[in-house]
Amino acid sequence: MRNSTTGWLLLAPTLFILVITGLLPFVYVLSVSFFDWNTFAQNPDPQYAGVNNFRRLVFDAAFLKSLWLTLKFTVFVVLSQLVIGFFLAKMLMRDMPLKGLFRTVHTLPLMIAPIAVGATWRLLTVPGLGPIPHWMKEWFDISYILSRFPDQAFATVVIMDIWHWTPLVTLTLMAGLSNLPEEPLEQARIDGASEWRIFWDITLAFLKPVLLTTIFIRLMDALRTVDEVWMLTGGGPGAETRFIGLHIWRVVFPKTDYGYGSAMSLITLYLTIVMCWFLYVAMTGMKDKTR
Amino acid sequence: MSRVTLQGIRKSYGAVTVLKPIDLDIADGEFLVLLGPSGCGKSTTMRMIAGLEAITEGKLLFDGRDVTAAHPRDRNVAMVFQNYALYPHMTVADNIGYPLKVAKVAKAERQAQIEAAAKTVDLTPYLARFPRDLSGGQRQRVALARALVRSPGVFLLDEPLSNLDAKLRVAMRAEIKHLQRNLGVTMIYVTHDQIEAMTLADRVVLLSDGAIQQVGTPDEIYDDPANLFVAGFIGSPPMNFLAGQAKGGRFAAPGVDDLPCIGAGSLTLGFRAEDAALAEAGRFSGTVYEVEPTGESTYVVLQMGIHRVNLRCDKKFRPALGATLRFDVAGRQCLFFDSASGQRVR
Repeated sequence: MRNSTTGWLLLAPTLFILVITGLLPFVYVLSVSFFDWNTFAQNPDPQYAGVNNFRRLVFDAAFLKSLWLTLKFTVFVVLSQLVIGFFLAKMLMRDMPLKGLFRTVHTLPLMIAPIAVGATWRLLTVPGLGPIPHWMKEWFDISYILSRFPDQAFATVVIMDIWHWTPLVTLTLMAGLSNLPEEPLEQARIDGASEWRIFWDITLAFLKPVLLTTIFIRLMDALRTVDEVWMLTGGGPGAETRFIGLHIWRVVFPKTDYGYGSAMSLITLYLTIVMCWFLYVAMTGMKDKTR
Repeated sequence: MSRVTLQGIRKSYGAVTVLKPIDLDIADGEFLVLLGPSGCGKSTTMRMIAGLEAITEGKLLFDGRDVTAAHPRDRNVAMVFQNYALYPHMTVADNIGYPLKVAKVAKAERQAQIEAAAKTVDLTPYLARFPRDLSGGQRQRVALARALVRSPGVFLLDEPLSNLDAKLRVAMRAEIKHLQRNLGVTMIYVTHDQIEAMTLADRVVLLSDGAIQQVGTPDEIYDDPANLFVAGFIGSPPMNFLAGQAKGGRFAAPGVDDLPCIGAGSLTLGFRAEDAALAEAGRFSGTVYEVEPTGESTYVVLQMGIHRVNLRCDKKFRPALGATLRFDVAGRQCLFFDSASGQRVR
């Protein structure tokens, strides 16, 4: 009995902090989501609205569009980062001169705050000032104006995220690759498997835990991207790069629609959890099949 | 089944030579053991035969076909690694069947071959299990079955028993020998354990410092060692050595009287513990340093000048410590080596 009391006492500070920073805000957001609460409305006080906020969401074209954009963005960046990160990891593990320098330089983007990344890319892409529009015109005769062409804006945001976060994927994959056991790979070569087969049948199986962790981290990060995009495009042109984080911010802050914003946050959280769960089941299920 | 020929095969990493040029002809169906202390180049030799390590110089032939630069999959070899190298995410059946799967063997055919291989090594009840659910000996058998299933020309085994406990090792040793004999395949086996080498091999290749020290049947290696290294490496306890001087056909060393010998100058006399017999009028004498009963016999350690030698005596024999014992060794069992070069004087 004494033991369990001591245990709880030792856990208490952590639990206290977790309750204050995690559970309470969640419960608060959950409760707010059932109220109609807008400080700019005729009646600025919260009024109980049941599930009205959630019902509104389902038919909110702006929200759905933002959700769709976010999903598209997430799929693009996470897949690209995995592929590019894997090849970079492979390359940076080879013996070559200045390997250490390359490794260091390639991780530099990770150390830059997202808001600064956004600012840097904005400077690169501002027409009349940034070098990218200038050379795009010069070399390819493309007028590159982020505030006018949605596709350009979307592509630039994707590329910026890939530039910023691929090093993280490279680092984790490098850790995974350098921990690969040598013998099963050699065994597979002797067993007659081609390099592609070995990668698919053996290497991936050994990398699975690292891959899963990396994908989770990147997926969750990508789903809640705000600051970089806000700095680069402001969500524009129009709402063409207004991802879900930005959308919620707009609803909650400039529009002060707290109840509706809370409902949106909850749905986004729910979707994130569901996506991760699906992914987990899919990846571990893949393992079960080969069992 | 294949005949394997190594012609002047050499391996170096940059300026460091790890294997001096070796020539070896391994007959079809032969059980060849590469034996040596760690770092002697035995595993490197095997890995070059497997194709996992590039051959720096020389030629490797399988049945006369040059495979020096061939990819491992084009050599028709199977290998069993020290740590078994099983695929942890595949069942025993999938592990065994993997070489067939990549060779695109039809599923039904594959299943039949997996079952046949599993039966050979008594794994049939474990086919649906994962490697992590198996004991060391069972994992070892999975690795063997995976090697068997391809009906390879050459079987390569890299210290396959070193991770097993002593009892299991003896049992698996016999199984491997039995398997090789039944299948009649060429088997190349790497080990640092001389007992394993002696019990398994048709021929033993003893390597040290990246060079072959001696090639021969276990009996030849044991009875007729080519140099001090071989004589000292093979046998338990190792061969006894006494350094002395030879002059006029007589060998002189502390505790040795009037022993005829061949050669002259600094020689080392070698004899085996079991070849020494206690005798009142023996030409060798020493004081008892320690007595080591083993159950089946008693080893007496004698101090002879600066050397200590082992004698195998009757199991009931218990001499007093410090007592002087005389013994003799038959002339043909006294082997002489040149002390400087280590080479046998014949």
